[in-house]
Amino acid sequence: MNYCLMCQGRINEYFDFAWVLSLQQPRKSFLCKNCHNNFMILINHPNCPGCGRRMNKKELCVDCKKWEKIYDDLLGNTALYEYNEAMKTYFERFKFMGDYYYFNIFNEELKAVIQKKYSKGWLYVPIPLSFQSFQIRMFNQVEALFSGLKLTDLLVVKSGEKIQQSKLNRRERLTMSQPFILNTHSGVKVEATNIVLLDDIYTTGRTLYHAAIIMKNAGAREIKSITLAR
Amino acid sequence: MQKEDFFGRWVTLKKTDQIMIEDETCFVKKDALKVQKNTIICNRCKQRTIKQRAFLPNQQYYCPACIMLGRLTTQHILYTIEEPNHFFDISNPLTWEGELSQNQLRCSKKVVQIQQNNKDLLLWAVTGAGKTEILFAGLAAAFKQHKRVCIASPRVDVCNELYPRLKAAFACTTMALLHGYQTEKYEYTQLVICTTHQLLRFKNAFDMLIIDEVDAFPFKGDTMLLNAVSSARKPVSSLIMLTATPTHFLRSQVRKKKLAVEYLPSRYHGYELPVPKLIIRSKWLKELQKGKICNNIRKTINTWIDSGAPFLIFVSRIDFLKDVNIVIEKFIKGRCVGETVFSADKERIEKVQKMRDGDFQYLVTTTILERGVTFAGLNVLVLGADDELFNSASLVQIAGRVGRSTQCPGGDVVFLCSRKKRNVVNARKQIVALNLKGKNKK
Ligand SMILES: [Zn+2]
Ligand SMILES: [Zn+2]
Ligand SMILES: [Zn+2]
Repeated sequence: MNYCLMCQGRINEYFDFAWVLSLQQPRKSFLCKNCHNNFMILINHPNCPGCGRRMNKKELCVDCKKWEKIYDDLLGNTALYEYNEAMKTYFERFKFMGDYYYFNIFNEELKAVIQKKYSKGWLYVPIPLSFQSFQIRMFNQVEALFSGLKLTDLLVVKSGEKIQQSKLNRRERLTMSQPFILNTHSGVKVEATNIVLLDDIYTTGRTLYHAAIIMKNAGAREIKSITLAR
Repeated sequence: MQKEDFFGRWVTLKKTDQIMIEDETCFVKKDALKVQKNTIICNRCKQRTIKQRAFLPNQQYYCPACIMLGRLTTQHILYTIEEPNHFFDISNPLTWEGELSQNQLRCSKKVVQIQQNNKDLLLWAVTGAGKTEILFAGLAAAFKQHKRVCIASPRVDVCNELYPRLKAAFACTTMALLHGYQTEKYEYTQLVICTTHQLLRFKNAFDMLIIDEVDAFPFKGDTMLLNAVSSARKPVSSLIMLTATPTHFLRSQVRKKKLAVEYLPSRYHGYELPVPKLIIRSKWLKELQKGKICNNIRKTINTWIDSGAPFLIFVSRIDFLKDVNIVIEKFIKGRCVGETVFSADKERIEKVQKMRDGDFQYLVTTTILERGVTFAGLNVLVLGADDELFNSASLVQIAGRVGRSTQCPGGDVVFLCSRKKRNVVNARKQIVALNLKGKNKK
């Protein structure tokens, strides 16, 4: 018998996420139908082509219009779910309490989406964690969510730099100075490669655009991003 | 970190942290997790978890069972110092000057005696019986003897409500309120008021442990909380369990004479609990789905509307709320106003307030209003009382909403069921039995 990770209730039946067309065989589910429905799927709905946020029709949102003025190319972020109450509760448990096992809830979906959209000729680059945060959490939540894929560590957090975004307000987040540097020990040549940046939540876009500019300066050709939530 | 923080309590430190207190010998030290072949066992909550569920990618393990108290991993160590009972002398700890009814006095004496002899007691008190005051004499006696005491409840609101009342009753006693939603620093106190989960943080700390609403533990028969109780109290200590609706297990312990019991059957005002009226109608749900309400119920609701008395309609499932309310509204035809309410309802507090203020005459609700909420002169209708989601305990609680004020001790409790099921019959039996005990004890 399976138990739902969000409500501890029993899971009675298998159900497939309608959009995963390629997955045929039933797989272990970690959520009951009720809790699953509390997460709002964003893809397959009209959304902002810049960040993936839900819109009434397909057009750039106000924030992405601002990014467009600063950066030539938008990230074209794919966000799977809306950052709503259910998602907030999820991250509280997974990221802040540190219940590592919760990566399982979205891992299969994230893998399926990325492999469908960016199958060949892309490097998957996770947003890194500061040393201090890693000491406390003992795992990188982004690497956990996307585990099972070949990830390339092209970014590191500058030492002495602590990015705990949850402690900053929106304005501070937007003006935060570059927290990353290129990982010179990765042994991978960035020049002329295509990059998909991976993150857990797209909040303001600041973190991802910081990462993107490092990739751009290192010579990357095309840079996209995928996040679990927006 | 102070030495007092460790008294009768687990303090968690990483293996790399150093404790900066001289005299290391007074500490008891334990690895937070015990790693076995396929499982890990947590030394705080005693739960066993399979490795696959507890695994961290840096080759460490963690305990998911008590993670809401802060994650314990294989890199943590638990420290404690044996409870020394370092408390001040207080000659007259009780600063409360109220009076007890005869029934309350009898129970109060029993609590003092149990406290003195370090025994266990089930205090079976009906809702609205004034059970907090019953504890005062026992608490005062314990405080005088430098005993450390804890009152735990599964519900945060109960803790928040108890704290100021006890603060007023024992003005000179040090006390702390502990639950998951607060940020204040822990302090060593003689009285601890906390949610039941917080008990896991203590180790052989309490000479007297009181558990309120012992039937409402978040999960029935939760072994984790049973472990918490037995490890938080001292090996020689008293345990007092308060409930209006003891579980089957507790009742059987009483029957086998393994657990002492004291009843507080009648309410503070001395009137009896209203006995539920059963209406059996096999097709009520089908009728309701067609928008029809049977005659019996129509008559009952009509009387309530005419008298202007407030009423609650309980349904078993959230999805019924809207449909039921549509039918009710159609039947009422604007003669009075009401709404639906459920636990995650954003306007829940406002709606309950409107009901109190008389802006609403009725609410259609799920079981969230079964405990704690009081409306004067209330009537209650339970739709589908035989539904498995209403156990007999929750039916007794629901019935206990009625007749709580001295001004209007009466009121109707009506259970509509498709057939006579055990939960309904048992609930009714319990209420009748308690009323009988009340009469005999007077
Ligand atoms: Zn669930
Ligand atoms: Zn956008
Ligand atoms: Zn544990």
